[in-house]
Amino acid sequence: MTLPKNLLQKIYRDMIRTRTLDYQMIKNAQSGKMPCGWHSGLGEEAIVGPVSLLGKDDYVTYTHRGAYVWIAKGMEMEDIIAEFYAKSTGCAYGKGGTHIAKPSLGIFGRSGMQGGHLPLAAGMGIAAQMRGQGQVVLSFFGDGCATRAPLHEAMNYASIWKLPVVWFCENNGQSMSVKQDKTWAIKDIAQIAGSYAMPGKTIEDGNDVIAVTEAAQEFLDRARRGEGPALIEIKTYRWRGHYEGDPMLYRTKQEINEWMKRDPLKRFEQLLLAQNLITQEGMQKIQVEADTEVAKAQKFAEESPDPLPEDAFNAIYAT
Amino acid sequence: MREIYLYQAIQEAVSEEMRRDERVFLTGEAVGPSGTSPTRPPKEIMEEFGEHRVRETGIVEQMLAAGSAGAAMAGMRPIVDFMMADFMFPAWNEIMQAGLWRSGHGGAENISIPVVYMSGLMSYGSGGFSHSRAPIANVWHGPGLKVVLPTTPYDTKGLLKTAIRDNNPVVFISHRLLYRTQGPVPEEEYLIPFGEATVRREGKDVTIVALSYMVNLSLEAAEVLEQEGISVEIIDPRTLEPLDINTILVSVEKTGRLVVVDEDYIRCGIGAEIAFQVQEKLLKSLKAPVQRVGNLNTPIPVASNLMQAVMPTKEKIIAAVKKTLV
Repeated sequence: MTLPKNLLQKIYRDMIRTRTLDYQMIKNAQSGKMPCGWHSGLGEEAIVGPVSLLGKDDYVTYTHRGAYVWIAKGMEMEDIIAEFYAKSTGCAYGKGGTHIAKPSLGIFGRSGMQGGHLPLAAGMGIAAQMRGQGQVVLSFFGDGCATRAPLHEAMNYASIWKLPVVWFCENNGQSMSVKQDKTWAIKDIAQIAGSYAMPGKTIEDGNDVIAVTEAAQEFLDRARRGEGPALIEIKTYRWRGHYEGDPMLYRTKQEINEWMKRDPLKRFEQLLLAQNLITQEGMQKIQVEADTEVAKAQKFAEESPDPLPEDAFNAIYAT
Repeated sequence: MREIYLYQAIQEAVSEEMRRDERVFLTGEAVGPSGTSPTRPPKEIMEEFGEHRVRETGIVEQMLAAGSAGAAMAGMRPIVDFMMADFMFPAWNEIMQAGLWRSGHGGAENISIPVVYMSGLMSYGSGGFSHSRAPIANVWHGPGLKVVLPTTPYDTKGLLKTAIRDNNPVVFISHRLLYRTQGPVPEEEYLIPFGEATVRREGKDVTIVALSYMVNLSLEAAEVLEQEGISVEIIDPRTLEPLDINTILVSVEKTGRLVVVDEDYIRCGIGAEIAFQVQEKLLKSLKAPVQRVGNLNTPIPVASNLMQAVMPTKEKIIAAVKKTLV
């Protein structure tokens, strides 16, 4: 294992924090009191690993299921939950909702047109390349939006210009309710890397935090050295529906149960215990802290004031 | 004062701003030194700035529009050359979205998206239905974008430099038929602020509001009308967002008559919006209904006589002016 101990511990803590937030947001979505819908990422938390390799100045783009990205990149729970409650204290003051942004952390929101964030990521790569300070872009996307044109335009030019972008496909095999055999003629999306002359790697066990993080480390280092983009694909699965309330007619209970047995968090936890990198007491402490953190942010969001009507017009143009 | 062509005014504005600010870069289809873009920078620019700052591409409108918005969010100041205004359509979502990001972020941390989307109107050629459109009202319709349509070389240079320094997405639409028109442009630096209309011709009987090449057609119409004793005032707003409605109002208050000439489709167009804003303030000063000249609602044909039937012409402008005087 080449990853440092404190990094693994941070990854574990952020996975717990993300999962705790996710369960809270599922509850919020079901309560009918949260105006924004929730796209749960339960089961796909291995992605916390790669995000934890980024510095504050690096850029990241995320999918529908962005909670692990926001948390691992350093956002505060208050910023996130309050924004989903469309409160004046949210990260976008109640205007952005699910399109969470925190510019100072290199998080610039998400296009509601799926895949729209991929050229944005290439553009952040242009900025990083022009600045020449070793910044990188880690751009997540799903197998669903990968069928759209912006991905191919962005990957092509990222390769031509050798931009420091690591493309990261969270392949959960489902484009909303449509299974991958109806959205792609190929099985491994990392195959398209060859079309754009960049390295590509499919990680069949995308719930193996170590494997996923190490692959990201290799390609992020390469990008920082100015050697251009690369594509990682991890095979993973979302436990919940596309959105809270999805009747999930497109998959069986058995399929869900099979994947839940391969829980990335449980497996990582066992590995850390076996390596003596964490204790049972330590685990409990982290969970209690996460519960407290989420509860505090939840209360903050619920009690925060709504934006004022005139605020709708105060951010259209920059001066 | 020296005279230069309008396309040279574009080149000068781009290269001067690239020299002034290292965050500015140019990208677009065929903008390299041997490219087919009529507004590509001269060869020396490529040598001066290198491939990181002159990024020539093939046909990738979505990448150009959103990639540049991404670079802008991350601190750069891109200029995108789409060559033809029609070529904005494949990137429609990305261009529209560029105008939404800031508000969508709530303006948090005062994020800005300083990107210029340049293109040229290609109408009055034989480009037909997909090379001759003038998507002007389209970009003006919703919030978030600034919209500039320069007419003279002087305005082109001053407004483009302002656009490049603006902290918002700016759609900068010039006109193919004006690239090779000449005009005085000072050697020394100047900027033209957005939201200041200019009076292209003073008159007392009828006000025409027109932008870009429509100003030239209107000036020709005004010459003819003058011989018939009709005095036309022509207002060129130069920017639609922000719009200098006051200069238009002052003129209409004087003349009592208004014709809006617009190269885009008439329906839901610039004429409708300006006519509405004018009647809202000046209903009692209007001596006749406002007239609109613009594209009729059919795909733009190739045959010259059909095109003349569909698009604004000098004759149609003259007829519209006379209609306000009946």
